[in-house]
Amino acid sequence: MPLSNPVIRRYTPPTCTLEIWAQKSPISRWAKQSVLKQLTFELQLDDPRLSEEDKVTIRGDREQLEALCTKVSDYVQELLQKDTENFWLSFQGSQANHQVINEPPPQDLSRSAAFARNSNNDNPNTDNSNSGFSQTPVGSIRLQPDTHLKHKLFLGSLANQSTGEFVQLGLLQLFDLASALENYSAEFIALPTTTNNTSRRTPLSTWGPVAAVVAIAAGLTPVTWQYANRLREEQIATKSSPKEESVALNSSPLQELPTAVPTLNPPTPLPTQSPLTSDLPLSVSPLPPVSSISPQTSIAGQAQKPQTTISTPSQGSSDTTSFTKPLTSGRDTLTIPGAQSNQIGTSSITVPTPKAQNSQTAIRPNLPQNSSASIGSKSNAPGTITNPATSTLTTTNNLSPRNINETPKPSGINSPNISLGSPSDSESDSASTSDLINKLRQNRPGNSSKIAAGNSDVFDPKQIAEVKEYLKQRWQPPSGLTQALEYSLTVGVDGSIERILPLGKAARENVSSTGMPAIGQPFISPSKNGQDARIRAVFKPDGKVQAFPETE
Amino acid sequence: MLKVMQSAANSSTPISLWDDLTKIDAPAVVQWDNMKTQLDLVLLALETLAGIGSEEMLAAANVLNLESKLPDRVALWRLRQSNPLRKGQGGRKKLDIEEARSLVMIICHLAKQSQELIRRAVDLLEQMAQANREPHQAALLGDYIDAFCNRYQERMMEDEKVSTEVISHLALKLLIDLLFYSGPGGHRRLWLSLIDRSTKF
Repeated sequence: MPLSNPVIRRYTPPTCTLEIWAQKSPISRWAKQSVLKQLTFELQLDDPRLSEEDKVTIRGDREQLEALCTKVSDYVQELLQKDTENFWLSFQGSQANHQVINEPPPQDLSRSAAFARNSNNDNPNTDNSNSGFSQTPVGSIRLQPDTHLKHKLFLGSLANQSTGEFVQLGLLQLFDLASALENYSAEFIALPTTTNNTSRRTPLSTWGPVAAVVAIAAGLTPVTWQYANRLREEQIATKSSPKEESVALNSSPLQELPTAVPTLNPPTPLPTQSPLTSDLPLSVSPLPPVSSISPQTSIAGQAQKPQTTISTPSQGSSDTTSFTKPLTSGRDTLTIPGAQSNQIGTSSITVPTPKAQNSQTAIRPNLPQNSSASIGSKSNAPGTITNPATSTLTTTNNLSPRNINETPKPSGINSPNISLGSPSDSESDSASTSDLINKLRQNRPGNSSKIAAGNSDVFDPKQIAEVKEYLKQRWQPPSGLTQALEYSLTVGVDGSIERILPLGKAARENVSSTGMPAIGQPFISPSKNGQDARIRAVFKPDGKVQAFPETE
Repeated sequence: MLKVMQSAANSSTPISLWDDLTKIDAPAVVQWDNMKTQLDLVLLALETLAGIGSEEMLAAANVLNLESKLPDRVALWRLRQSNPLRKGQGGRKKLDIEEARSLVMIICHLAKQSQELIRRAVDLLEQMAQANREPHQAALLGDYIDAFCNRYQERMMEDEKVSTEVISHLALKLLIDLLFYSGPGGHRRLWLSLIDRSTKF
């Protein structure tokens, strides 16, 4: 059951509970009925007269629900249309059953044929399926009269280990099931999703990022152009025009990047400085002006100078950054850096590699969504080490020294970058920078480990505390409550509640007294991780509330 | 709070219910007698089980904006007299399709109102069946069956020799039918079954 589906619809006739999980389609605006997509459902046959073991839960998707609706509705209609005589005959055991079945209901010959087949086949199986669950679900969903006014609901593809092949329903259960399904059908139209989606989504998912990059590039071109021009004016040193053009094309001379970028362009003097700049931007801050050197260098510069050796790593980084410019980081755009990295790898140093790997390990948690291109580049060549570093740079917006030293958050990622830069520094001229880098590198391991730990725990403790506080204030235990109520909450990135999944019957029945906000309502402060959070909330009868992160 | 859905049927208006029925094509050749008989029998079951009389039926017609089709007690009586199984010939009238639809809506409305009682009766019926006991051994069902048989024999023609057992079975079948008519979409179910009966023969 997809946890991302926020809409809950629950139909609760006395002997069953039908829950619908889906997303509302925007088409609903123009439709009489609400239109749902990505629908899944859960049906609990929880007649209070049944023992706990006999209560059955069935889960399925849209198609199965539609099939269930149709079959139940048709079956009920058939029952109603039966003559009194035939009606009673159909419930008088297998023999009578056969008689009735062989006597085709007037309207639906194919159906009656199916009945005959099922009854012949299923009768021998019934005992097995009731006692043991070994039967694999075969056939489709269908209903059939049984003895004592009962009805067999054959679950077909909905069958599972706990349900067996079929479920026996009484008249009231059948009525309640039919009512729930009828209410659902009257209220919603579900769009087909599963099969079509895969075929539709693949092209979208492949072209989506490309389109996004093109759009961003187009949007940023004027800005980039202005920025490049300004830089050019400020620069004393003259640069070749083709490089500038390439920069403009890159479209992403980020403000963040100027630090790293500058190193790239000037083939001769600057490469040495580049690593420093990337390290120091805020901490030492001697180099910020250097950034003026121009962000353009990236691709053109590299292409021309594969041998720039030390500086290349930094170039790689700058390139990636330039593409990724948008704050979120250019995960998808990394393809180009990969190519660069190959070049760089050939040209540049072997030393960085191990460090780069280290840095990768530290960084990874932050880069789960990075494009495969970046990964490929990492794996391709040792020289490519710079790429990971650069990508991390892009992901982190804050370059402040504070991050390097303290924060266990993504910001700490800067440190690996610095460390990467250091080898190039050692080869370069400036001793002071290498010192600084060494200092930073000393800090790094600790930082990286913190980061990893921080990321393994996706949850923001502050959020958990907020949940607890929020719920504690509102929780009013209903009188007579003896057991704790448990809910699985999904909290969106913006801190609003996206889903409430009651765990257990008591929880379902007492939702209103928990004081939880409505779905979509603001709940807690937004997630710092940029991810949805799943939180388990436990309301105890004594007024206490517990909240803790749910593990996947 | 969770958005727990209310029954969609609750929100349906008489007009939408009526539209539902008009959307279903009436068969070209209809055995109206079957339809009239069935409507009268369902009303008889409802009347017997829930003690519903003509007052309640007229009130339901009022709620459903069907006063024009069922203005008074006499009109109702004449409609029910259209059942060919009824004793006596006086006042029999033809039942037109709009009147049939009106009766369908009234029946479902009243069944919904009496759903709790109907559920209880069906629950008892299930229990008796499960225990292999005769339904009339349960008080509620026994009273219902007796009263239904009495009224049936009292009102329907005698020339058809119908055993009490058959009438009892009819009563219990109508009870189960009423359960489904009391649910969401019950009016459609009743209407479809009427059409089915009317075209069967």
